[in-house]
Amino acid sequence: MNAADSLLEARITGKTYRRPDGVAMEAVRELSLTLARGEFVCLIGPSGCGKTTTLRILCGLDHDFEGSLTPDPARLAIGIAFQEPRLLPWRTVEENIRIVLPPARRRADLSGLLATFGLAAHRARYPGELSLGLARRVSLARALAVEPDLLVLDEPFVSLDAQAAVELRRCVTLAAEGKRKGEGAGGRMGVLMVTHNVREALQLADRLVLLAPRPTFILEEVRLRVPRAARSPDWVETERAALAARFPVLSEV
Amino acid sequence: MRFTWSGALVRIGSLIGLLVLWQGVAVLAHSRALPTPEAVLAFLSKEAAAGDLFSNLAVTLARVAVSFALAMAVGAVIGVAFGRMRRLDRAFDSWLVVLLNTPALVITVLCYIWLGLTETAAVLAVALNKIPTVAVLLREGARALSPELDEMAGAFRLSFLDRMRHVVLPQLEPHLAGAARSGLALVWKIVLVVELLGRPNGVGYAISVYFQLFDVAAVLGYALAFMAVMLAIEYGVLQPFEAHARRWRLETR
Repeated sequence: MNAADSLLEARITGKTYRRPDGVAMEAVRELSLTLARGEFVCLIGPSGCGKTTTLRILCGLDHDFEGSLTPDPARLAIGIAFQEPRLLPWRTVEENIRIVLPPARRRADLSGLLATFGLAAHRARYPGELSLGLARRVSLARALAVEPDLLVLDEPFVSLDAQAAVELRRCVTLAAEGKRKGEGAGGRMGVLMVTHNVREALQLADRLVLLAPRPTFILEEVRLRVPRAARSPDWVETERAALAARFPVLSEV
Repeated sequence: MRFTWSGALVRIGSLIGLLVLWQGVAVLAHSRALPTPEAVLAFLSKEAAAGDLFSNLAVTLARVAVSFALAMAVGAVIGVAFGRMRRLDRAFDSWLVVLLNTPALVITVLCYIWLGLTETAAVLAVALNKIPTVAVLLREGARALSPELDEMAGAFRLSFLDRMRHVVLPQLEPHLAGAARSGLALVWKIVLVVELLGRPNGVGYAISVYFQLFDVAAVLGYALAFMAVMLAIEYGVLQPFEAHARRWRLETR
């Protein structure tokens, strides 16, 4: 990877937090990760291993850690789709998206974005009227509306029924593929997704980053060279079995 | 609560029943201490024709408006600050308790002694009586602010004003509405006491004058006229405002 392709370099030497009962918990130990522009990276690990903690550090939401991030995430445009959609229930779908835009773009036409994610008919509805799948799509559209350098997805498919998960996966693929075709290195968006579902990671990612149980560190990085369109269910299953055989911790996730 | 014609008819019917009961008891009692509704109405039309009714109502309403606005603004700022900053709350919570438990009459008398029988003292006395209750209600609201939405606002780098307008104030709205409704009811009653004790005009002053003349029709007339004004504000301003602010909840029914 050349320097122009590098989006974010992280070296987290340690992250400890205090539980409400005062006990110190070491969440991360020695985790170095480089993200490239146009790359789709999945962080995979067992529940409670520190995936979301790592994600929060990488996004610049948690500054209380030992190590460094280059560049400072504050200098990057980051769009985040949280695990719970975190939409404002008192604002409509369209307003939820518009609010995060910079003032100069607040009146931008969102029709294209809403249509892409199948939200055109729901633009005037409130989040309380939406299914979880639709709310996740709004959350994804909101994250993309800021035209991010880095799109961050925290367990986007968890708790969705099969149909909603398929639909959202289509949206994520569309977003990733669309932005990867952006002109010039600066126009290409990196995607960082946290998941504990190896199958969905194998379907979507260019690179898997396997995390150890807490305190987490990188067990292995696996580059997937098969084009996304060519990844059949059989291929996904074969790869998953091979990974589980090499890393028994993955059979728990 | 949604408007229904049947509900309105029940309320109107109930008020007419109260008037009939009053008329019946007044006729039976046949005493200066309980004039008939007709006598009160006659006083009101005479006072209105002379112009005194409207000037006294206007003066009192202005005092209610200024002291209510002052109490809501100061109480909300204190409440939110206490709710968000635990140290501040610990340091000054006892001040709030002292003020909450100081009788309205004591605060009023002290304000008049320290600041003289002035408009400032009157408005300040009313506001000081209401500020602690607004602060306590808003402190609870601020404590209940969603950390998830706060993190979302931070992740999308919303400006301070956008955070307040789209994220914080809508969450505080039920607490603000509660404080406003209970506040208005409390403030107008205290304004009358403050006027009775130390102002040369207003509904409270008029009631004190007619009390000395033992003119019960006048006392009831002024009380009813002002109650009608406050009810008009409750139904014409506060409730529509609340319904507008909660429209997203109605939509989700």
